[in-house]
Amino acid sequence: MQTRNQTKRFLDFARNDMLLPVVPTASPVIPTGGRLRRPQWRDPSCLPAGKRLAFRMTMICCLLFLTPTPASAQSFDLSISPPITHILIKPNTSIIQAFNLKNYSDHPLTLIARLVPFSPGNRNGIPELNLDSSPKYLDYFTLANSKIRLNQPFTLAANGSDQLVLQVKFPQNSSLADYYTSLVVSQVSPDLDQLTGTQLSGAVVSNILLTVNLVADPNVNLSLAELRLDSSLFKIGPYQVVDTLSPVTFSAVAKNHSPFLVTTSGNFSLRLRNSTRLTSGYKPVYLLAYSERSLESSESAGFTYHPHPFDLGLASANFSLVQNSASVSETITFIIFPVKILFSLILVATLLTFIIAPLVSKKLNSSLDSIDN
Amino acid sequence: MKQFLANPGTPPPVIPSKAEGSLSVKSDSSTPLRSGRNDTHRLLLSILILLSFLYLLPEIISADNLRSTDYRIDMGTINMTGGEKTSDTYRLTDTVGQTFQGRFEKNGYRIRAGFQYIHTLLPFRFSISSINVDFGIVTPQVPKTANNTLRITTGAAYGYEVQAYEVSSLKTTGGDAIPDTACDAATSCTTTDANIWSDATRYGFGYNMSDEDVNTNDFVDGSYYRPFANAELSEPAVPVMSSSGIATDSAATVTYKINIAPTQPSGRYTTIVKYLAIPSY
Repeated sequence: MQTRNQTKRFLDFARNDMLLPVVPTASPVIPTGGRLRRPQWRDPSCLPAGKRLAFRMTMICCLLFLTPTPASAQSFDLSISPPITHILIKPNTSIIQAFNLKNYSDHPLTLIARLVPFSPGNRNGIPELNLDSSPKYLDYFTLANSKIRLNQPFTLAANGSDQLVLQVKFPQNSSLADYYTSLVVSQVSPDLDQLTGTQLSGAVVSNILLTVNLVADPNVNLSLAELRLDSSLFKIGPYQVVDTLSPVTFSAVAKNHSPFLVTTSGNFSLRLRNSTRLTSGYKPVYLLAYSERSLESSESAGFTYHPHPFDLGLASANFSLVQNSASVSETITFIIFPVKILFSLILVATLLTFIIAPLVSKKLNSSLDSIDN
Repeated sequence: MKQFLANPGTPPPVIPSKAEGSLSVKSDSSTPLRSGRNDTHRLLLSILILLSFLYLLPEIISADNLRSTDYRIDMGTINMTGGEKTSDTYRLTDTVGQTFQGRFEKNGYRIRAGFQYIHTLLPFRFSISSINVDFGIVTPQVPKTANNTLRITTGAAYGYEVQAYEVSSLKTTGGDAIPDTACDAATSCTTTDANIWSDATRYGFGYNMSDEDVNTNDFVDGSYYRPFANAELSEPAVPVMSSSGIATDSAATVTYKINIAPTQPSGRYTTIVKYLAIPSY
């Protein structure tokens, strides 16, 4: 509406005070005391060719400036890169990490960047942001930008990009530990009393896993907190039984008992009758201090084995986790058995024995009786 | 350009008049007519040059973001060499020399950016199709809905979650509030548990999720709703979209629903719903 009014004002102004083409006036052009009357100047056709060109170019430029942009619904479209950063740093060492922001929308975004601590969340690696917490160590993070400050609004131009240059320096006497921090870049919302309804606001997060330590690979203590055979049919003694016709799926959860994070590393293998049928590594995801995380196979099939129809016998699935130069491992032993095939055979045999055989026998007897008669 | 400049040596211009046909107007350069004409020409010329300059001015460059025509932090870390290395036989994204204890001992730092299986420079992107939820004029006991789309690309992250919360229930400045929905009487819902809300005599404000990366065990169909977590009541943000793996332009539709009682005071009810897109670590 405002743009429309601006354009209207400009057009009025142009018609009245500039050399916009207007309906030629009927009044003759008579020099009056050496001065031209105004209506004559309002007709551009009375200008020489060169000046007409200048006039047209001026008009085009003015119109280009004042042409309203197409109206569209306000949206939020923002990216941040990198979304995850692991920084291992010695005390009293300074490091600078840049975070790229890009606004993909066609209007500027007013944003605010802040740092919040997070704690390990669920087993899939989703952090639990503590939005209202502001621990002392956050003072060791600063933005090196000259114009953008943490916790203060800044504008990211339409389709524009910018960098948040984060400087980290922990003092010499800092505790050697992990400091999990999220950089939250959120859209600034208007005050509630300025709204006319429900307004949405977006935010993107980048996770910073900061380890302050004197060594690159500290000693860690890992374990397999949970090892599960998801496709077990039933149990015979200590052994779970799976069927040869169904995929055999496993899941495992690793636990870190140490104050420093590690990257999951190790192997999964499945053996049947002394031969290895399946092996895979783990995706290198972060296992944070004193937390649990589901292990994920580096293979697209996951921890799933598809038995052959004639696979039969005792099998074992082994998960091993590498910690420093050693490893920990856990094994599930189970029985692969053609349960479904066997049950089908039993069912068929039962049908034959108790239903079909008596019927056939009865029919046969009646036939013999009729022959005898 | 010269033709626009006042030149006492050139004859005065001929100005045609549509009213009276051609009319030659001769005047001396010293006359007010010539002077006024030149002033106007100069004005035109000045405007033209000014506008041209405005158009052609280069983008302002500042050292603010460690970016100029000469340099920009692309890998993200100063004093590190890194980026993407490719050959016919391998493709690797990492930062050089990070795996060696000696390197850390010498420099005092080591940085890894992004999930190691993915190109580390791919951004984590989140969008909301429209940030205004317009219900129009709301009539008591006639539920109204509005919707928008959330989109996400995880980029260099492996997995994500979008969490949502409202800063308060829908309220007027006078304090009148539209309560958050509790769904139907027989099928009550909570901030983490969607349920059926189809009764026109059950009032409130809630939302439904559908399409990609939505928990369809919870939002079974379009009749299942939840209230937003209310920050005013210290309720934590709840996930509305999630994936434990890579997402490329995953889109989910949020349907907002409002239904008011006949006793609801008229007025302007407002709130802000916030969405946080959080990558996995």
